[in-house]
Amino acid sequence: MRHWHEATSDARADGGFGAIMDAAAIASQRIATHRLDIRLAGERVELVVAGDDLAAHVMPVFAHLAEPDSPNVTAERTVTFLDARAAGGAALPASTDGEWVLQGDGWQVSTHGNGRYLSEVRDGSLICLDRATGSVAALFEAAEGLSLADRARPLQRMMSQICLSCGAQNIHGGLVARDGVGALIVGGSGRGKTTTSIDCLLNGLDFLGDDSVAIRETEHGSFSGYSLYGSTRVHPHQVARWPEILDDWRMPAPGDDKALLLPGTIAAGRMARQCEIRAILVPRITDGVFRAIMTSPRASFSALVHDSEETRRFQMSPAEFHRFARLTRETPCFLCDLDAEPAAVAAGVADILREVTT
Amino acid sequence: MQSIESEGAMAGSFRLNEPAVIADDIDGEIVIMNLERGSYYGLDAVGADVWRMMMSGDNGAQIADRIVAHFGADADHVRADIATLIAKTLEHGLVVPVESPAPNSTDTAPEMTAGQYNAPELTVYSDMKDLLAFDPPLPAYDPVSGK
Repeated sequence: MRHWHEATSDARADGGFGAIMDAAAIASQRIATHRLDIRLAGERVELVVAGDDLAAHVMPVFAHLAEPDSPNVTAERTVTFLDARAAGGAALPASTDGEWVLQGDGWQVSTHGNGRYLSEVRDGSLICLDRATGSVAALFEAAEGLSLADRARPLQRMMSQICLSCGAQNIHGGLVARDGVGALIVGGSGRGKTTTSIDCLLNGLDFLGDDSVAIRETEHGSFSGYSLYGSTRVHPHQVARWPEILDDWRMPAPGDDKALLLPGTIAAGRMARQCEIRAILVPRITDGVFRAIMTSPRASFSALVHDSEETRRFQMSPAEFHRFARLTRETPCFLCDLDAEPAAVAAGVADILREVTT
Repeated sequence: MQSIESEGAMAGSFRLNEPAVIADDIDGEIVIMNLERGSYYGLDAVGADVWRMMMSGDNGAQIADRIVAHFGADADHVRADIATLIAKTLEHGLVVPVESPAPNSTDTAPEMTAGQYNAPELTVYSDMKDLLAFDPPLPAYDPVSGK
């Protein structure tokens, strides 16, 4: 069997990346494999995780997106995660030659095979998207080496491209809902997106995400919101806000800066995968009481286009820009001063959702 | 008395500096993003009126005439304000001059804001620069043609 390190040096076929995806598929047949049909950003996807240890990290993050068994329905695409060491593979390449290459601190994104394959290489991982089929191969050097960031968002920045290939748009924001009516939570890093999302989760609202979700415009001009990851991360000093789940956090190892929570393990019934977006919230951390005031669509737009180094995205297209503009034009936006008391934040958000529904 | 630059701004027509710049109308205001510079701008209500007329092919003098007629404002002040605004949009690379502008007519002129005239303002949100962590656009790929 050819391995990925051989494939990447093969300049004859697809820059080697078609062979990488084939090698991953073949390797995944040699070890214990876990499969789950999920709906990701509205599209049916077959999730395949090869390697028990890797599955223990990856499956809980996507478990809430599981589709009911439908034998007659086949997935449009496959996302394969592979524990390379468990599959007997060699070390992953630290970088790859590409037709188009973009490099940052510890990561490289490149295209191969006349643009068909898009790869992201980080220390210990290689993720490849086949833009012709929408399928993904995510190779991790060893499951035990995964950072908490990788465990929380194992598809890294490739998720935004997967969303695009599904006709959806990845957003740096949180999403909570009540009875299928959702509030998108936007703003720069440290503004309170995660705080609001967890406050709501622990006080009766549904959780769809705290930092990375997707939106899709419907044919009626409304917007659907989608959960992408059933995970959330905060700085360790913040976990004291929620004493009832203090033991549920995985605290950061050296090299990680945030603690990880898998909300599905503490409140599986409150994990939702889709909602209709009816409000946009721009939180602000304060020591006072919860207060929500309606703000302008332009303020909402500004908060929506905030990005962060972690979720940095490729330059938005005019279509994405105008979709953001339509979303902010059509959706009431509230500037929310957060309360020191989590239940008060959730009650305030629930009031907003009630108000925009009636 | 207007400077030569102002006279140029008033006589010329302009178009959006695509593809680097994108703009949209949000509830009466215009939001503009210069993707190459990673910068973000807003135009207030009267500024949005001016912008819409610029995008429909009016030159600065025509825009000033329409603004004066609509708001009943002082013509000299309006002409100076329009010249300043056009100069700023050029300076920030938001628009580029059009060599041979298509003729525009009053029939197709965009509707204007109701209310009082205030000098149009281009707000530069320089604090957004670090937050628009855009990487260059990915090369396009069409799954149908395979290119």
